[in-house]
Amino acid sequence: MNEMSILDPVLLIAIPLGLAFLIPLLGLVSKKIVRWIPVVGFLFNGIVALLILPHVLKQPIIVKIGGFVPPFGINLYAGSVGMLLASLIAITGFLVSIYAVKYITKGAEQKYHILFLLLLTGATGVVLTGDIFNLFVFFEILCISSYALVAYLGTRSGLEASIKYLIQGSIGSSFLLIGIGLLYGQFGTLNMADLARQIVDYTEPSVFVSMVFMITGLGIEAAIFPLNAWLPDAHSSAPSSVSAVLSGIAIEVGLYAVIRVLFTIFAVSNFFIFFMVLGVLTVLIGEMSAFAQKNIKRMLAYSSIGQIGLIVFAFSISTQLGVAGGLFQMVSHTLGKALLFLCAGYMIFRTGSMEISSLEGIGKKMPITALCFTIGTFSIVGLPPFTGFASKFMIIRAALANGELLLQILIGLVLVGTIIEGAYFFKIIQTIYFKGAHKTDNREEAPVTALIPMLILVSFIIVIGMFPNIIDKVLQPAASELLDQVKYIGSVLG
Amino acid sequence: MIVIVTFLIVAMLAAAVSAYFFRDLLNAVIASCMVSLIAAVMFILLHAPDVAMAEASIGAALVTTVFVIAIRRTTRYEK
Amino acid sequence: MRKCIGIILLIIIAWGILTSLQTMPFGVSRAKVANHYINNGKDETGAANIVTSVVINYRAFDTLGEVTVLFLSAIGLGAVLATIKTREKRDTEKASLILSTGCRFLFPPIILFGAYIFIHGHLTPGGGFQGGAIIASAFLLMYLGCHGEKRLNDRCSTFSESLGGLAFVIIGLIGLAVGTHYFLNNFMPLGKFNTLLSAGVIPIIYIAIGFKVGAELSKIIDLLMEES
Repeated sequence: MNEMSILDPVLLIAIPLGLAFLIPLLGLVSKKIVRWIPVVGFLFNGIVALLILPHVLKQPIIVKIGGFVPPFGINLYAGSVGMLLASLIAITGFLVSIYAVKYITKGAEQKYHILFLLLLTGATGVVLTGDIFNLFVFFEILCISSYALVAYLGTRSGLEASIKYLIQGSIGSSFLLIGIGLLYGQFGTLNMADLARQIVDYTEPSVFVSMVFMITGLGIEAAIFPLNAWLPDAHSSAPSSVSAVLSGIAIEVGLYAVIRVLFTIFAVSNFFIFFMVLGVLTVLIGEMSAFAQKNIKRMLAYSSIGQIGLIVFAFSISTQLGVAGGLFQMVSHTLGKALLFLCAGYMIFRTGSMEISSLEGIGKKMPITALCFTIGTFSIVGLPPFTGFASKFMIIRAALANGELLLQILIGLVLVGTIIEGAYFFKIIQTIYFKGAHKTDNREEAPVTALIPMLILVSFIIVIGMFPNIIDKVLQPAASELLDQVKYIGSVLG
Repeated sequence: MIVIVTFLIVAMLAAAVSAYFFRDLLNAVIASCMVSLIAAVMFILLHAPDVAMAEASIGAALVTTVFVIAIRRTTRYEK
Repeated sequence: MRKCIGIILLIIIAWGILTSLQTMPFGVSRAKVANHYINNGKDETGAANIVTSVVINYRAFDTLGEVTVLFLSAIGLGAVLATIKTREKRDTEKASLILSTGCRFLFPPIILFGAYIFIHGHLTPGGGFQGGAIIASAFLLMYLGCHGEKRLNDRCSTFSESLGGLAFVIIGLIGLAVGTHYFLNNFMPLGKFNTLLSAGVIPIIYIAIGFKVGAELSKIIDLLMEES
């Protein structure tokens, strides 16, 4: 047994699944252990993922489940993209689960931890798998746990949002399944590499139809513009720790699946203008709706839509720099949005209201949380020296690299979106720090279990923002992996 | 054989369409249960007994029960 | 207007599916992967039922995922229903003696049949999912026929669903540690073909799934029945 077989990427999925099945048993013994299980699981995942990451930058690891050769069995494709996102998921999951230890006190606590653990396990499965039906299965795990978590608080708005999400999400899943079924019927295989090898021309009507079904189905989860009606309600009525992972991870994983299907399976080459326009529309609509919100969580949810639009735009530039910029933006959005939701969680908890106007004077009451929130907004808006700046700058460079007029106009519109984003975030910061100065309440800081994850996220945001080279070493191979279909096929099928 | 299959398909379609048109939701649930049941028979005719078993027990029995419970908690007639 | 748009969208979708379906000849085996399963399944997995060899061996990872989906839906339903206050009790009429005795009489044979289905999953049609669903239908019968008299033992169902899932994952991890070092590989001897003790880990996994699915579906019924 050599070193790599101990660090098998399948452990990233198997261990959390096993822990999730273990939770009900441990729950019979002690209620207190249960809330630390997700922490343990994601700590393990984070360590394993970061240990595997350097190994996959040159050559991806192909995990053959059950030992069957790829088209016949299921394989995991642990390449640079997969491992980058898996590490991101594990780290975010670890931090958010520390936060949740004290934050989740109401309801069926044990069930919350199971659902949370499985939500992120599903996300890890989606980013690592190399088989489209397996992708569907993990997508279902991701979706079903998020439906339940959105309704976790049991409020009327939560239940309503959850049912809305459930209906739209199930339609999306069935579209995805129809698409997969049609592909299987035509090519007789479910392996992504094998499909990619057999699909010669994706514009052939029968193949194109399955592509449209798959992209529509995945697009609902990824919240690309006309398919995002569920998002603001769902993300704003879930508990904040859940909103953090829904906004930070669930939609990005959906977007990853869209990109993987488009680039790797179908090798799409000339629909990018369509996606670019969709992306820009998503940015503008998301940011404008966010500007009009009075409720802080709804504002953050709409801002996520805007960010997703930006990522779609970056990917559809489809050059090395553009795709790397999109991945970088994913990373910085995950870190920034998770931080914002975590801070907002305790701000709402202390003030008892989600209205932005009720946050007056919170900068004095909870100084550390407010500072973290401010850094999060700066990063999302894209101010130096935070990650958001580095990633947005990369996207702008990618858009201007070709010197095409259309791209210049579109990036201009994206920048308008960013300005709107800046305007509403500064409005909140103004409310936090400069309004209601006469109120001098006692300090009521968030508990330590909430502050630690926030501060770690802040340090990530600053360190990556100051030294983008750290992550660039992973982004470049990741972008070439997404763009190079031939290498993908070669490394799976040999 | 072809007669039986045609009959089953027509019955299945009829059940599906009537499930849409019934105002009484209980009838609609029974009609959709019938769709599952005929689907189970079709699976057996297509030599897929494994799927037929799952379809009969889950699609026809358990899902119908869940629907009936839901109707009992809400209203029986569509507005 | 809305209906019109709906109908037009449906027509487009139906047309799309039809154009795709036209390229697939019905009943002709062209699929390379499927042919491989049919021709080599017996030798590679030792299961007489090829469907089982695909579900539990070639695509076992999907099955692990599906088991998790079922687990999730039971847990999710529990989490959502836990927040809702229980309503006032409705008057229910007690079932007649014939009905309740009949249900009690049928309960053990149905359980036995379900157990038979999942224990023989690698030999005859059916398997863990089907057997589990049959077991759950036995519990459903009890709930319908003898309403309010007997209930599912909570602790017992928790035990069987957790242990079932854990057994699946642990068998997978043992496969990673021994034999060919692949997750979920069939590390046990395949035995004599078409006997009860054959096909390596397949029967063990199917028994675990049977317990798990049975417990989960019964729990879902229990949760819903308790609510109504």
